[in-house]
Amino acid sequence: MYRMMIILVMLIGGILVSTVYTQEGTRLLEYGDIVMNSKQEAMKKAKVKLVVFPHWFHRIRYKCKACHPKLFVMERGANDIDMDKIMRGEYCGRCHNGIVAWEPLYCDRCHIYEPPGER
Amino acid sequence: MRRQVFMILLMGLLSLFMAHGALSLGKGRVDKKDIAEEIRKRIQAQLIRLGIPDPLSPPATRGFEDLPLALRYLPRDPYGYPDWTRAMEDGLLLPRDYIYGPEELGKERHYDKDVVIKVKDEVLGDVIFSHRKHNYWLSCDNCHPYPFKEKRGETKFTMYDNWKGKYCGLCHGKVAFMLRGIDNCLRCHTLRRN
Ligand code: HEC
Ligand code: HEC
Ligand code: HEC
Ligand code: HEC
Ligand code: HEC
Ligand code: HEC
Repeated sequence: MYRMMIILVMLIGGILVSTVYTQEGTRLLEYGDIVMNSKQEAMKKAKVKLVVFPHWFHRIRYKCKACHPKLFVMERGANDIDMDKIMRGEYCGRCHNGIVAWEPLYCDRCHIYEPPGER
Repeated sequence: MRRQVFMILLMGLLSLFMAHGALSLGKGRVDKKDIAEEIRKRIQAQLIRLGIPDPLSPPATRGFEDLPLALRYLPRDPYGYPDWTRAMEDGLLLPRDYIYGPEELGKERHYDKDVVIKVKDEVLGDVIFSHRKHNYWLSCDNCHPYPFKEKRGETKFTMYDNWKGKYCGLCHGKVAFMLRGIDNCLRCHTLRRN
């Protein structure tokens, strides 16, 4: 009986926690995070959120010169990026190709940002 | 008896020493605030004219828990943000220069000299621009020929341009440390003049 109770509580707790986490898909922006929204319309049509590029997360692993200015122009929105190019190994796909970092199959790792007030 | 007198004297000296330390510490802090007030007075009119928000109000201080896991154990600046320069100099980071191979970078030039940028202001020190600290992260073509000409004093810009996100503000305030708060001002305005 007692054991059943514990299992039940853990089950309900687990469901609650996981729903909270999946709903909290948006996250706070770190300093240096860049919201990429130049393809806003196309992203809305495909029902994905906006992209956040976390600079400081990448910076621990790579110097700026690995990306700037060859791969990305150092200006918000100045790069014409779309998923086609990423899948073909350009831009983010230079690394997010399953060799250097994970493949661009996990949409919700990059497409995580919703502007406040959109929900 | 003699030992007691000696101990009392010693304690007295110690407390004097500590009081002095506390006083001078306090003085240091007041000094910095005074400097900030003095600078604010001097540049206020221009800031308002150009519509730049007050840069001397410090950024929100961050605690240990506010930082993402990956950044928590790096050295931190007075506002709680990672101090990347110190992390670099302490050898805590091993970021890669390239993704696949060194040929990506082309022929890399080596340049380590400091450039002193004279500042038109009496309160703040001149700026030492360290090529060494920047070239660890960046390649020359991020800064030369745009936005900086490769010759001392050829590029004309002001602090107000920086706050507007040009020149030094291209990175400082977006990815590198901010142009806000007196402690950050003093990371660039380092050279004391007599
Ligand atoms: C993993 C690749 C990568 C690395 C490493 C990297 N960046 Fe970026 N950077 C980007 C991307 C992607 C953008 C966004 C470009 C866009 O929006 O089109 C960007 C944009 C920028 C911008 C423009 C921001 C704005 O608001 O206009 C600046 C400034 C910048 N980076 C500076 C740096 C500095 C300084 C470093 C080194 C400490 C660095 N970057 C390291 C990928 C990188
Ligand atoms: C220089 C190589 C490189 C490039 C270019 C690059 N990334 Fe990454 N990225 C990485 C690596 C390495 C990781 C860490 C992977 C791991 O932990 O397994 C990563 C992780 C991430 C993460 C996960 C962050 C977290 O908090 O876990 C996101 C999001 C991300 N990248 C987005 C992007 C976006 C968006 C772009 C293009 C604008 C991009 N990356 C370009 C190398 C790169
Ligand atoms: C490595 C990070 C990353 C991953 C993973 C990723 N994307 Fe993207 N996506 C981007 C970036 C960067 C852009 C360009 C954003 C901009 O510049 O506005 C983009 C743009 C888009 C766009 C609009 C442009 C276009 O191509 O039409 C769509 C739609 C899109 N992504 C869908 C997806 C889907 C669906 C997935 C999952 C299969 C996915 N993305 C996974 C980074 C990523
Ligand atoms: C973060 C930006 C930045 C990077 C990266 C950078 N520089 Fe500079 N450089 C400057 C600035 C700022 C000046 C001073 C310009 C002025 O005084 O008007 C300068 C000045 C110079 C000067 C002239 C110095 C003098 O005394 O006249 C030379 C030469 C130079 N840089 C070479 C290089 C080389 C070579 C590299 C790459 C290895 C490089 N720089 C990378 C910002 C940079
Ligand atoms: C990234 C480095 C950097 C930081 C941080 C910085 N400055 Fe400056 N500052 C400069 C440079 C470079 C100049 C010289 C501009 C020139 O050529 O006149 C300057 C010049 C000035 C001047 C003289 C007026 C002028 O435009 O020449 C004032 C006043 C000033 N800074 C105030 C501040 C204050 C206040 C802060 C902190 C909120 C600050 N600075 C932070 C780099 C910096
Ligand atoms: C292309 C990007 C870029 C530009 C432009 C740039 N910086 Fe920096 N700077 C960086 C990065 C990245 C660091 C590493 C520290 C960090 O990210 O907080 C740095 C660090 C510094 C430091 C070292 C701070 C310390 O704690 O020792 C000084 C000083 C500095 N910059 C001054 C300047 C001045 C002055 C200018 C303009 C003449 C300038 N920077 C322009 C990217 C840039």
